[in-house]
Amino acid sequence: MKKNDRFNDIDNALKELQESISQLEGVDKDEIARKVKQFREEIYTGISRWSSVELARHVDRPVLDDYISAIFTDFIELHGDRVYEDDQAVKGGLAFLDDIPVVVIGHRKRSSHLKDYIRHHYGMANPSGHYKTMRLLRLAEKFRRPVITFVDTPGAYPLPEAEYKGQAYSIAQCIAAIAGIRTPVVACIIGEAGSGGALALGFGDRIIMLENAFYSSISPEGYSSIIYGDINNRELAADTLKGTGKDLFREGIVNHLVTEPTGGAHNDPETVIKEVSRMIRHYVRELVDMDLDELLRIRAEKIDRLIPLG
Amino acid sequence: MSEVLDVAKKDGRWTECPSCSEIIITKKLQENMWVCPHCEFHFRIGAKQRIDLVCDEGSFTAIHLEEHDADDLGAEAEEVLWGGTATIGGSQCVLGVMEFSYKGGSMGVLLGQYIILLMKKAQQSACPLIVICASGGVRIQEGIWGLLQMLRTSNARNATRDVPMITVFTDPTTGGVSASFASLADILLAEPGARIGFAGPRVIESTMKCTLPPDFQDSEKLLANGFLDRIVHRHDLKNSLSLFLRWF
Repeated sequence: MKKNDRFNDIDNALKELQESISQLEGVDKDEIARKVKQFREEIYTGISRWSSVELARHVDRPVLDDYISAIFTDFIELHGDRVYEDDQAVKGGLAFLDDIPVVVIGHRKRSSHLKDYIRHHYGMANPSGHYKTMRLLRLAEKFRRPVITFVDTPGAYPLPEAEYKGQAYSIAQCIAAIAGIRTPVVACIIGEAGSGGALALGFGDRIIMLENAFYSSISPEGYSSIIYGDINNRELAADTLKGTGKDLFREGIVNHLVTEPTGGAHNDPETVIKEVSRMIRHYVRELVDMDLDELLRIRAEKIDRLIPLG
Repeated sequence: MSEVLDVAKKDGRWTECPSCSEIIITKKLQENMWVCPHCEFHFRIGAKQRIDLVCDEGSFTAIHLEEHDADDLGAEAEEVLWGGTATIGGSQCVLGVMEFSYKGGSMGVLLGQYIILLMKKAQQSACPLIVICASGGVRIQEGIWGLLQMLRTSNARNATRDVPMITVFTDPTTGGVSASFASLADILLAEPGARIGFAGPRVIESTMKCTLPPDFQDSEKLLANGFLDRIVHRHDLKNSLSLFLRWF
């Protein structure tokens, strides 16, 4: 994966500058810090959709493990798809949300504090990741436990082997399973959310989405390649795809928009995760009290209305 | 000789088989349901031809998407999918046939709507649904809305799961169609040599920097890997479908 050089460069340069100036004698450190803060805000205010895409992919962006450890207690990972392997791009298990037993499933792009992207193939699920999701959903349904999903994937794994194991079939099964599952589902879109691979985990009775997360049928680069022949129009493509948290919240697809600090979620992961946590608790409490048939009726109506307004 | 050939190819009298390169008299090819008589290669054909090939003569009656808009978007959906009621070997069914040559058979909001309508019609009239697929996936120009049609059509399939459904994959069916409602049928059939998959070969090659064997998403490979019930030769499709309809 390419590093998101632009934002890293800006932030690193500002940090260095601030540190060097602060070492000079007779300067007001607070004044320097204030100016740097102001400058950063100017850079990041009203950032383009493409910049959101870059932030969604940022190497320091909080990932699944950060959310799990901060939001739930006693998380027990459950491995394997019960068919042939344990996919490393999808992680799931049992946990407690305060006193409520829940099932957690998410894309794991890397581990906390590690850049082990290769091991987790950047959160791109194999069919075994989707089969793992299916069996965890069935487990949740059997015990009537709410499901919380976290989406952070460029898309399903585009490998010949993935095709041989039924990538399309496994995604279709996941999408249908979430649509029909007889237990509440809360989906959190925390980073990249590309294509059918994202949709496999990316729907629920309530959807929480981060401001700079990007949910679309194809990456801006992919869109640009198909429509314009190369990736040079990716910024325009991002504007056409309109996949940021703000976009989807405006369209009524997302229930709650989590705003990010200036420069993206990695600048203050604690606050961002706390807000996600607060909303998950709010929604799960709300949903577990509902009659199950009523919940499914409302969900079906919600899906039915997923067409553009006007 | 080759000049004569070129002229004959250009005016459509002769056709070269892309698979075995044999030159075939187009009329013969047509009579053979656009299957190469030398190597059995199945040519891509349009929705109208497919309807003629599988339905009992004159039995196809179009089902129209009610919400024809002023800007003819509804009519456009009916270009991508030909939907209607028909009889096949005397058995009643609802049939949808996708037209790949029209915008790559892509699934946007209205196509999603149309597929859902066909599912509901099949449920109301208590008859099986057959979808003959050919699609490059969701319509990316519609952004998130295209993607969400995978969810909408899958959910509609959940809601009409008592409807017996057959999918016939034809060349090519990839992306959002193969990864949603099409794969949720009770019976999954394919024509020989059809490319069926999720990610297209160009996406895989450019993302993973690998070269792919030419047959990697062929129906035959899918059958061997366990993702198809049967491969059905175009000559046998009508008969096969009528057997399934009788069985349901």
